[in-house]
Amino acid sequence: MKKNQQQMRHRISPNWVIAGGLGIVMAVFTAVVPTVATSAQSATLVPTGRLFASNCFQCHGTDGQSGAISQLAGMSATDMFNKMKDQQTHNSIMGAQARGYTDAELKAIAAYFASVVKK
Amino acid sequence: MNQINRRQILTGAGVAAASMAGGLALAQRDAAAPAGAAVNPVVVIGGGMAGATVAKYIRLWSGKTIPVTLIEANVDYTSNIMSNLVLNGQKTLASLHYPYTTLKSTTYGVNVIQGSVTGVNPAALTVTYKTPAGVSTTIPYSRVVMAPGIDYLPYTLTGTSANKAKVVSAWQAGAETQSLRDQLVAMPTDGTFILTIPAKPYRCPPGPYERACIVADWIKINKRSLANTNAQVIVLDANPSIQAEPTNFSTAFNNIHAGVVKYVPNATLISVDADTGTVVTAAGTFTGNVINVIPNHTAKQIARDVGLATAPTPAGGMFCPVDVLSYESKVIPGIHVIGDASATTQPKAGHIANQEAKVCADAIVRLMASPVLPLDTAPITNSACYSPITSTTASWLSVVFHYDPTTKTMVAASGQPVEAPSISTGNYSQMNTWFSVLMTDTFK
Repeated sequence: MKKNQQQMRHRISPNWVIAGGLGIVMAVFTAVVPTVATSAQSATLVPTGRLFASNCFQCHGTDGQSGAISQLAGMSATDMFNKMKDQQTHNSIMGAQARGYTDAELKAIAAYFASVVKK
Repeated sequence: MNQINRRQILTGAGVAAASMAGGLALAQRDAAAPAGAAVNPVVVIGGGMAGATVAKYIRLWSGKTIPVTLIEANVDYTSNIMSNLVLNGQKTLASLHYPYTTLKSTTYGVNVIQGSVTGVNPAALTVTYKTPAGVSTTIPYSRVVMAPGIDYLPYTLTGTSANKAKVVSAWQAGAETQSLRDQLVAMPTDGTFILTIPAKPYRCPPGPYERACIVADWIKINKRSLANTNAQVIVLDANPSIQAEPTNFSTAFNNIHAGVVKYVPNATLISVDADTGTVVTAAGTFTGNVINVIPNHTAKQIARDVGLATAPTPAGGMFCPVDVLSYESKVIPGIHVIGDASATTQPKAGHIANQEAKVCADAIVRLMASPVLPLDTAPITNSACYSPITSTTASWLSVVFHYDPTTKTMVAASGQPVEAPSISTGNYSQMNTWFSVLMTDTFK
């Protein structure tokens, strides 16, 4: 069991799971399924910030992959956080949305999109 | 997809679920299930904005390990969002159809069944549906997500059958939307369009005011003689004031469409005579050529039949109370209710239904993980939507909700909702992009 946990931790870092998009997630699941699940494995199922970030998907695409407005996937976390702080001063729909989040929430969102590989 | 068995997904679920709200029945079910048995699907009832999104995201966020069956009466979805633009001829109904092709494809692998759900049995954990051919089938579920939408409360409508059929709501996009468009085109010059707005809560708070604007804009160009100074769009609102974007819709009614729109608050609907075009309300009696009644809302019948709808509205509707951390029913464990049928502090509308669905999907993935993961205790939801005011301009409305652990409800962020600082052509352009990406996030 301990060996399994160590193997799984090694094989599945949260960033790696997110980074690969669905294809790699599937590959990971294929690897995970034969073993008895552990809390470490389960944690990789729900990356930090993903649910917060999903508020952005309606306008910026699933996982921030749509470039119709601006593509958030793969943006640097610092850039994104700074842009959101700037947006908070704008009298725009993005500004109104951005003002709805605390700094900590914006940082979690920015970290999530930074971990997604731009398609 | 590999065959996933109960041991692989649900190991430990029985123990942890018992400590969660409504988890006892599920824990008992899990304990009773033989190890290695195949996992029953999450059955999603209704393929609108909420149902399609939850089906997609459960598959996406579980790495396609949780089987999802989506049961929807129609072969595809017709978008309510943008359907007011069918009335002024800027969009066709055909352009608003969204098929389930991508959800069904190997990208997501949702089992989409065309059928009408006739029953849910929470004791047996089964859902029964009837196919269009009339075949009744019962399937097992691990959890149910109800996203059935709304029904209308009855109101007093008199007249011949043919005339009564012309009094439509067009509040569920489809044949009635086309009927309303056709009636407007056939309306005599200087004729009158009457729109009744239901008492809150109703679907899409800005929608009726948007419709009044779009019809007024179209009438000015197509159905108004130069000498006419009469209002031709009579808005009979059961509510005491404009329910969304009051500044911009007041500007629209009083300036942009001045003289064409007459707004009447506190106009609770009493009766409609379809033969004479007479609408009787608490604020007076009005006559028109085209009568568009949006009746008061209640949760869809299947949600009421199952016993989920226990929260009454002043207008006589019944909606489904839920725990907004998971959207699990407060009445029946193992059944979640999202979108317009649920009773929450959030508006009933497509954009926020999409986000409610994501919170629900995240919760279901956690509840079905092995071992069960605790729910996110601080979810955020949002709504951002655009409303056309003319054929070239639009407004917008934005709000972000946070979970308040004291009241256990979703509460709007400070100073919100926010409406657009002005009505503009730029907003209209943004509206088309917003709609396109929103529908892609929901159906593709």
